[in-house]
Amino acid sequence: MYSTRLFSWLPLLLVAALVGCNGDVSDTARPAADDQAASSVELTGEVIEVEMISDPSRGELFLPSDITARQGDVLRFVLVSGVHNARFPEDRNPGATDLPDASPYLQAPGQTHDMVVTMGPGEYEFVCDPHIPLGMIGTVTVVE
Amino acid sequence: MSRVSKKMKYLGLGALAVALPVFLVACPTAEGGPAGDAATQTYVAPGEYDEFYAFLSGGYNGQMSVWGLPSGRMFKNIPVFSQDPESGYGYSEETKALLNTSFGPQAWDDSHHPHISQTDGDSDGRWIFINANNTPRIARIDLTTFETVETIEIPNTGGNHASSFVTSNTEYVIGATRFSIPEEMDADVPIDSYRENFGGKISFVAVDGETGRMSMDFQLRVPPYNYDLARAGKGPSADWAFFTTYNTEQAHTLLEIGASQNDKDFILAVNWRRAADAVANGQARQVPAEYYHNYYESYGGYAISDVHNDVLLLDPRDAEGILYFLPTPKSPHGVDVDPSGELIVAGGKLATVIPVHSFSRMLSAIENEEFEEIIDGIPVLRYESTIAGEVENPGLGPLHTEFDGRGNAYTSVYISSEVVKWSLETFEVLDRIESFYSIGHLMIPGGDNVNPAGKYLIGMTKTARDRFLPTGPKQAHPAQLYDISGDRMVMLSDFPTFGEPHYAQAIEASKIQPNNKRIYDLEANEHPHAIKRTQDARVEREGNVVRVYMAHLRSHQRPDNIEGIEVGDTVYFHNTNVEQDWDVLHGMAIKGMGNAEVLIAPGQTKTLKWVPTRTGIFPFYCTAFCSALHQEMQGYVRVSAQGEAPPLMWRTGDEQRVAGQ
Repeated sequence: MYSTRLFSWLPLLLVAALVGCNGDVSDTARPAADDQAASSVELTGEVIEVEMISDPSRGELFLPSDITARQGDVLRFVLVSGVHNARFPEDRNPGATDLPDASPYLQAPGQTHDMVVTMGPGEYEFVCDPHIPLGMIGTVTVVE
Repeated sequence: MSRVSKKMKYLGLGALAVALPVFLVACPTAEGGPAGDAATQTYVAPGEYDEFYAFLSGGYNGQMSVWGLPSGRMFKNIPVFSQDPESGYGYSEETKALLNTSFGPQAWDDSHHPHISQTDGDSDGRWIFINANNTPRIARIDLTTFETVETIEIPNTGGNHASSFVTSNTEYVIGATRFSIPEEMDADVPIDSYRENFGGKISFVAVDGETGRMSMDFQLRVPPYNYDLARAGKGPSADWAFFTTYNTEQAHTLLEIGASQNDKDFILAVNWRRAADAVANGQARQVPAEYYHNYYESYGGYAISDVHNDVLLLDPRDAEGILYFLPTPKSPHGVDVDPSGELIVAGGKLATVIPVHSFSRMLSAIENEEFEEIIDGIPVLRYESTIAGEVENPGLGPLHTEFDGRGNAYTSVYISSEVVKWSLETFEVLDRIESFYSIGHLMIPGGDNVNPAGKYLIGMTKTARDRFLPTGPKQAHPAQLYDISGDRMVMLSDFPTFGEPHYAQAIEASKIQPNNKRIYDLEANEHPHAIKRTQDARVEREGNVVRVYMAHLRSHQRPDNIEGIEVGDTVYFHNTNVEQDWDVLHGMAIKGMGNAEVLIAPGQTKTLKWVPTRTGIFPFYCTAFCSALHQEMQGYVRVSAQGEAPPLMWRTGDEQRVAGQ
């Protein structure tokens, strides 16, 4: 009786396990070239560091918050303090179809996340989701 | 397995000769346990969702718990009528007013009958109402946030048990006095003047169709009986509501005997639409009352209380065609209306049949004035004129009935401890299955409305005895899940619940899940002491009241050092979770606070009141694990002796401010 039950569950468990493997993993260690969206973009080798900060006097911010980049550059988000993510929301970037995937939440000071600039020339807005009302919003201007 | 012998033992202990053939017929397996692949039917894989939300009343914990079906997994406990130190409900300054009554704040109550708002007789998943039995009230819970947002007291009544059932478009949520009390408010009269001085009240609380806001519309004056349970009609009977009565003997002591004398008590049929029209036409009179109405006026502020000092009372002697009594055997408890709106099913606590009244026959009897007598202006219809049939051999003590939408009814039967399935067409018993032990209410998702999802049935029982690993003299109350999709009922699972569930409701998850709110919108927060930017965090003194406008975000509070507070001050920590991240809450507690923590949802402001009584350094900290550096999320308050405090100052890191500078 037990073995019958187990066998009837096995396929379910297998599917669950496979799905589970695609969940969030800390991607700090993952090379940027692994990004699915990045595969079609040629990397420039340029890395732009963007700090993520919660600070008593300055508030919650990306530093710098106004970035100029080229397609194929890497935005390296570096956590200084607080808990933050970075995302290019579709509703703030209407019409853009080649936006990079959102970062996970960074929690440990010094933790980084690399995001390839996949978009073509134009101006794009990115946010820290939990801190939008606190003004934690940045822009990337992609130039030729 | 030795279940059979155990079962026999309980039969010997508790029940009756009638029960024996019942069990022999009932058991799908020799163990009374799940049959075949029952486990896979309730299995919801990790990461998958249940098909239904179920809302179980908390009974004597005054709360309401939220579960998934078919898994039987508990999702949440919603505090309603009782203080909840876990969330700070009833402790935080924002929520205290929700427990206000004309008898002062109530820390506890007894909640029995949740009912989901309806549109066209079908559950719509917007709000769920629940009654307070002890100090009569009705609460409304918002099903986008799963939080109690409003309570209203039901004046001049005792024991609001026949509540909080909605009419089929949520025009009203209804209540009734279970314990009749003196008609005059606060009357000091001898208890044995019951017949002269006591009265009953049926209450209609209007519900605003847009906002859900409740208001006490009117009450109906009825004889001093006990009004037990209620249901609104549906379809053709949608303008009516039905209430069971017992103690038509009007006993005021030892009701166990005194209220069980009459062969028949009544179902009270109320044409609420005509009653509402009569009230609108000025046929009701204002009578003295005192009741509280507690609600949030703004998005995310403090709950407030309105106090009302009168209520409109309609006397049936002043308005005909509104109230009728349907004789019904024998101390009826539940009254339930089938999906078509035609059949009105009663459960008699001491009855040996289930009487079923016909709504259309009731209308004919009214038309033809087939009255036995008239009591206090209320015609009593002839039993033979309204009855559609009686279900024979339903077991002993039928209580409550729900429907599967396929022409079958399911009745819980307390004394013989079983669920009985019977046909709405032939009134014949089709199947029966035992409950463990002593079933009260049962519930089918949508089983009370026009569109039942007749797949599962839950029975909520009054005693667990040997069903689970024992936990001392007091065990959790069980719920048993049955598969009712086939000809025979099959028990799928048996799980312990929270509090003492009486009635419950369930609804397709698809009617609630898409509307779920993940955060409170910080920008829309209208709390007068909210802060929208962390830079606005500050401390202010007004006499001996100190207000701390504190920002909470991962992973610090701002400010986290405060000095300049004295013994004798009253400190309000106005805590705003300035983050907007689903399911990341912060909590706030300070040493020796004599209060409960407050849990602060994203975008929300919650206020903790603290009256320090000793000097010293008082650590405070985030009580909800929020981040990798959660343990670092802490601070200090310095309390000085009266008259000896330094200037009021606050600090976060290098940022230091002094009041007035």
